Amino acid sequence: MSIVSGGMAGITFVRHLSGKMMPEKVYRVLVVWALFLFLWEGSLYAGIFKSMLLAPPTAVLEKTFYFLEKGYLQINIAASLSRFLAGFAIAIIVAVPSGIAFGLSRGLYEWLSPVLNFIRMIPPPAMLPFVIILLGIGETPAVFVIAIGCFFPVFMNTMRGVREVETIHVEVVQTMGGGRADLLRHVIIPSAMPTILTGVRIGFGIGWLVLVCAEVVAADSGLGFMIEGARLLLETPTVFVGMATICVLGLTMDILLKRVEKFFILRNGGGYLNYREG
Amino acid sequence: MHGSYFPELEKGDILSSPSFILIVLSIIAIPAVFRWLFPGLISTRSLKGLSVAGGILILWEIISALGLVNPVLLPPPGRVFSNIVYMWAIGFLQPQIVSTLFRLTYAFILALLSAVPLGILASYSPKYFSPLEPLVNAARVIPAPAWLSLSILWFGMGHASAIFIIWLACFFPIFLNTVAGVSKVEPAQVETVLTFGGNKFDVLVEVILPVSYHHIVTGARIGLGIGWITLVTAELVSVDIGSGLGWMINDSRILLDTTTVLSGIILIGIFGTITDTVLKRFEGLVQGWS
Repeated sequence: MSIVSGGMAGITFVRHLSGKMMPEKVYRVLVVWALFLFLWEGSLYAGIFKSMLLAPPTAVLEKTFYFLEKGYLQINIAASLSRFLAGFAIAIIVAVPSGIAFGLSRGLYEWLSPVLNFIRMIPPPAMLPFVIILLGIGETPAVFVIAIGCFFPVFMNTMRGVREVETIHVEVVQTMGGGRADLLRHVIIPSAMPTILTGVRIGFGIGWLVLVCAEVVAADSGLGFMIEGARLLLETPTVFVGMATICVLGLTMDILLKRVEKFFILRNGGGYLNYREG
Repeated sequence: MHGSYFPELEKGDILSSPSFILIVLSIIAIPAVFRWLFPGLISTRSLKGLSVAGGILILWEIISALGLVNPVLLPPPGRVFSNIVYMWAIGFLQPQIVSTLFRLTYAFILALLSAVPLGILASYSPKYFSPLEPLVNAARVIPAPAWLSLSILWFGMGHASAIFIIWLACFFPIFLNTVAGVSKVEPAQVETVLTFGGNKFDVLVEVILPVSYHHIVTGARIGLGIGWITLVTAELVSVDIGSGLGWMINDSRILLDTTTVLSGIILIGIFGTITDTVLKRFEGLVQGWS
């Protein structure tokens, strides 16, 4: 309780000292968070909620430091991240080329898209039990299911991006005597890039969701496993530690992906960005 | 070596490979003949998709019939379909479908009823809502399944905890899309309604809802997709829940009854397609409206 209120006073004091050093936006976010945590802690202190159902922020903080010290949190973060990145990478490596192929070939799209659309509608966690039977318990089913979750958004967006390439750009390259490789490298990939990257970001969101699903259902490590294990032991603070970690990691990766998106688009002339902002 | 939900099905009543292949072939052939008789009634695209799907099923059946794969790991599709029919006939399947769809629709309607009004309010009085933005952003990033453990602690195993996280999963896409949709409203449109003597309710009905309708439906479609994922996770984890297609899949997985596992996956795919198609229809509605 006192930590939170002290923190709030501290923020205001630092703000007062630094004058305009701290941007208004940051200050606001900090104050809202401090107020929220204060109310949360206070409601438990006053006995409005049971502490078994809603762990106080101070207990969560204490637990976080304890886990960091013991290395338990780091192990689970590493397990979750490696699983996620493996699935994400596989999905992108498979989805972008196949998306380009489907975008370029009308026949491929007409024959195969109904079947793919059906598979797309099956939630990846539903496949998990079947994949476990096929591939055995371990890392592979989780990675496979995450890859499936990431695959479709990237695939669909790549296909859409390739279809929306301006015919006139294609014709220019053909008139200049460019072959198919030139077309792919100079026209199709650059103009489809913004759409592909949007797909990557959507795929990231779905993959992150599926990662947690897979870990809650069937895993012996990772943040989802940590949450579910803590729930079984009624260790409510640990549940919150896991959720907060997932939140922070998700936010960080989302910001990173936004940076990557910006970098790639700027490198390709920034036409899309200008269009978006102007 | 492996258990089964329905041992009596193992003894007989399973579609034989030739008859299954014949059925699939006729499912492809009948629309093809129809198309030949009445051109324009069935599109070439759906016929192509149908024949690819049928081809995969026939190939899978032949591979199983030749004994190239272990039937415990990958049962033939004929057995999966007879399993679905059998489960329906003995009345086992209906309660699972009903409870899955009940959880989904209940949470989805709850999400629509809460997210759309809140979204409209949030974009119309940013003064009260912008302070909450950091909290909303943080909550948005936590995937709904991560709330599952907490939700079980709060509401116990059963319908309530599942409905809570499905609601949560649907809420944010609908809410954020509503906010985006309302921001597309131009002040001139609002002023026009006010000038002609309309009140705030008229503005809502005549301007805000029609303009943001498309965004709201898009949000609803995204939300429903995430809701399905979350629903299945909830049913897989809450073993005590005792009903639902996800529960059926997990329960039969423990018995190594791959046939029922695959039946469940296919049924979830079918119902997911149906709910998405229904929402797509709603998306089409607006073209006539605006």
